[in-house]
Amino acid sequence: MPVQTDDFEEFYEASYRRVVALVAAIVGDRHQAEDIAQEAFARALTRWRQIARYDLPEAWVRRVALRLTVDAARRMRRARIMSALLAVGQRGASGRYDLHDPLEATALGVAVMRLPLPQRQVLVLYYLADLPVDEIARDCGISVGTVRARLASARHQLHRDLTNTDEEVRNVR
Amino acid sequence: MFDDSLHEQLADWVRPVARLPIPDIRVLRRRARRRGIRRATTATTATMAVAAIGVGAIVSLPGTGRPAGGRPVTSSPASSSPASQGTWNTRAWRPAGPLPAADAGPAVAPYIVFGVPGRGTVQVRNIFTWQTTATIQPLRGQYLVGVAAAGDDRTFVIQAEVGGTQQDVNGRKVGPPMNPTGAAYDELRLGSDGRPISLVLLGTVPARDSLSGFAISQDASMLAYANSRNSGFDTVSLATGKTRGWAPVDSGTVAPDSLSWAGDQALAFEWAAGNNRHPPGLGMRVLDVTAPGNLLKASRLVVAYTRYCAAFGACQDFQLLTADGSKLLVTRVAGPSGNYTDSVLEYSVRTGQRLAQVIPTVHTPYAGPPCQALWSDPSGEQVVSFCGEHGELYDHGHLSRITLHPPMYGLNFATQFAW
Repeated sequence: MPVQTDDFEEFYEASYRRVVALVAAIVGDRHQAEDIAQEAFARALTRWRQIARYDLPEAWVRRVALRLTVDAARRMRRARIMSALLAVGQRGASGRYDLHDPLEATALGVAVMRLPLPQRQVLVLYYLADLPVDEIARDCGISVGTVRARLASARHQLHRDLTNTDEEVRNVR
Repeated sequence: MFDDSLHEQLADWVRPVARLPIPDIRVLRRRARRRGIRRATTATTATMAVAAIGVGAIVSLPGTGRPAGGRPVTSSPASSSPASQGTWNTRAWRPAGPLPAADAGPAVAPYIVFGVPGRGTVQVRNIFTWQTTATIQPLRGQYLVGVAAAGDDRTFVIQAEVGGTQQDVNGRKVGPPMNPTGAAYDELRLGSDGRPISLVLLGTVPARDSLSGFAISQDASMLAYANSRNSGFDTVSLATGKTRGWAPVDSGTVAPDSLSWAGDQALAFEWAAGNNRHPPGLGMRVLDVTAPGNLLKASRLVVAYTRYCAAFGACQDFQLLTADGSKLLVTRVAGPSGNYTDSVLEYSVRTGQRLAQVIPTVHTPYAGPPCQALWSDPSGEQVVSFCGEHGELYDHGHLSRITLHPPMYGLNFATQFAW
């Protein structure tokens, strides 16, 4: 459960791992996830007097982190990262992409990273962070209807990708 | 099973990251300090630049700056609420064509316009045949992102992002621009065959003020766009450039995709919880944009939130106000989670009474895809709704299936689709 505390340090220690894990699932890269999470918390620190009064300070940090994932994805030419990750996926889980530190290239991870960023954000917030749809809508600045549509598309795509992967594995065997 | 295991699989995937040591808080403090220095430097530079531009502009202007003829008009707020400083090309504006007859069927309005995700263009199609009649390329420097329809099925307003830089992938510019500087609004006119006649720029608004939901009045004379700066919205007369800001009060918020016009005075919107979890008058409201007072005083609650949202976390804000302003079409979602029921209900704007259910109730095991009303005749006696599989026509109390071909995936029906 998200924490409610006036003390920043306590808040930071209680919520950092949740935020960094969430961001990692969206960007697929450990270093980038740490950088984004730290930036989001640093921004919270500069406004802590105000943010501490919010019902859910962690929601504020999460929203900032989500916006930073968008900026980061654009900066890093998402297409190249994705192709690198896919290459890692083809080499096997032991392969590493040297410029960054991608998460292990499991079938699910590769399928998630193939989703468009908006769908990935919604999927991760719904399934990993267990947030209700209206909270996701507020976090992403979109309507509930859009969240639902993106969730439906993401599930559809993910299911198709994972089923295809299973098929490929069976064919190889 | 897929749903059940997804949470565990995702958690397993990111577990190595979640187990990393938490960086020392001094790292954050250093980062925050550097950020503070950067912000101060940027603010000083920006202030100096604005001052320099201001001096230059004052020196170069020949007269008082009062707009004449067809010169662009810088919007002048008509009330004390802060409205964005848009620039409006009033000479380009023309009224939309007449509304269809009060009881006209959907066949009189076959054309839909929708954004093509990731392309920055829009397409015109016949919703009954799925025939493409045109692909509209953006005006120079624009990336098209949203569409709204006037009442005649031939006039549409397209929202575009301007400025910023696009991603460069293998030498090709792709995707929406990073850090757009403005939102442009263009008017698209179609001929009776669905082919474009004209695409003209109506005006621009700074990006910080508007890159979200919007709506155009039935006669295309009034534009409403969500104001991203204050979580309210602005209304602007495209004929005069006069703008009025409708800022939220009581720490509530306006759902940005919920705007819908009747005529050129009545604007429906959803009043939602913002920082205040329980602002007064939550729900679907109708505003008289000519009335004095703030957003809540000038508007009236038609359907309270609890009447259309009975499933925590799964409701939506899309609604449709009939062109004559008499009825409001609202999607109702009921829970519990994992067993949602969606329906589209018609309410009287005058009394708030529920008048009809315009689609059979749909049961969905998960949150999506949503049901919504896509089109209605001016009186709301005929309504076409869509729930992801087939269209449903409500015609004077009778329900029947109708063949529709709306775009299916990855589209926000509230802002990227107009019929």
